[in-house]
Amino acid sequence: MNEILEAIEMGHTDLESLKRFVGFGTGPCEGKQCIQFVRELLFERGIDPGIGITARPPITPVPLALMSQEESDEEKL
Amino acid sequence: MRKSYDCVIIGAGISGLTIGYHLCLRGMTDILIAERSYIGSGASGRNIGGVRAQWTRKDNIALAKESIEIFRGLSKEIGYNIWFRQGGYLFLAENEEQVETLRESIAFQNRNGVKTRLIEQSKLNEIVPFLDSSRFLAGAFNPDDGVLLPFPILWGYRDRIIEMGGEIVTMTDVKEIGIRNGRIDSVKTKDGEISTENVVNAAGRWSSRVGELAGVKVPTKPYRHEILVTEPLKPFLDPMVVTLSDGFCMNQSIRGELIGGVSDLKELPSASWSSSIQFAQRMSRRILQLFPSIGGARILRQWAGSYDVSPDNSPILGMVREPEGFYIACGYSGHGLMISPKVGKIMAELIATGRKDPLLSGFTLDRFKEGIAPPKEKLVIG
Repeated sequence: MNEILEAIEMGHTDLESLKRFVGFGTGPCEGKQCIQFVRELLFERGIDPGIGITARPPITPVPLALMSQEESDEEKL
Repeated sequence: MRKSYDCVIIGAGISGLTIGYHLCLRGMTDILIAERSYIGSGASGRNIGGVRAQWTRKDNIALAKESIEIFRGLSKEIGYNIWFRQGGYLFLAENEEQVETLRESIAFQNRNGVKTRLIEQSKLNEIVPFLDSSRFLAGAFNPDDGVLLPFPILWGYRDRIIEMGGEIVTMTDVKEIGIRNGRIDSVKTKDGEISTENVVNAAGRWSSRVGELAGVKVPTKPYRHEILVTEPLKPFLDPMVVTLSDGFCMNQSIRGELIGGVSDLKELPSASWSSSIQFAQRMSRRILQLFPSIGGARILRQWAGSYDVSPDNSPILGMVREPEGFYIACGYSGHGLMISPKVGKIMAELIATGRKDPLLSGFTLDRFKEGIAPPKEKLVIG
């Protein structure tokens, strides 16, 4: 929390920049929980949170071995 | 934002920020860097931070070599740790033809002061443990190549530019470029008109569009490249590993994550930045072909970015003939970050003093018109 406030002070005032500076939104859930919290922090400080961040795939971490076995759509055709 | 600047740079990626930083260092601080989204939102913030001097063109080697020297001291210079780690780059050959390609490029690089050497199949595991070396006949290794974290470089330049009096605005797209009597006169954003006599096109994958605003045809095209990152593993991979066959590249970050990509050789130019399951599958298979023992490592995240590709896979740098005052610094074709320290310096020198560093001569926009284009850079990944 303090780290986020410090980053806002340093001028990282949009969600995308904050994500890169602090690293929120890059854990296993890819930001589905913390993004609202950070959005509120910005809003409370009168800053327009603007565009959100893109939740990156996969939905949960996937082992390389499993991903390599999965048949792709291209191959099914 | 003020009503007038000496110079407006379009794009706050590594290209625009480095040029802005060096303009400020030269005392030309009345500058504005206008960014359509956030800082590093394009390729500068989406790459895997590779830095190498293994090239097949003399001028690309020169830019890269001098840039590596600058990166070594850059953390101190800009006040951010850029985590530059020189673990080398290892290019792997899977057939005799590729071995020949490596032999030729090694000889050329050695003549130009790069310490690349051929690594025989039996020695590959000394450099990369766990690699299935039975697949590869040989490799080319330069120990001075390395990796770094892109964002701290962008933040460092940002802070220093602001400290020295330069200005950066984000979420501000340049919509028009005004020209009067063959000379740059103004730019227009959502916040109105700004008068300026100099504009730098550092717009990365948007460079041809920004060129059009000034009536200049910039022959660059965006190509999507995808990347994935795994959970942190015990450190085992020192160099960046690259295959010649399919543009596979992977390194291990300082935090232990494996990070890399593999090209889709059928990919057509497009503005797409979407992530695909096909990439995650192709990359997973390729990782396991090279490193069969790490199948348990989990993919945490994947994303995409763009190369801004020029016709000869080399950057386009310099001032155009017309309109006067229009500068180009784009078309890096996937290697902009790694040559940015030297490019930023010589571009700022050109803008501030008019002096053309000899290194700029092979990168002019005119090389495509005049049909005198130097040979295409061959060692581009993907």
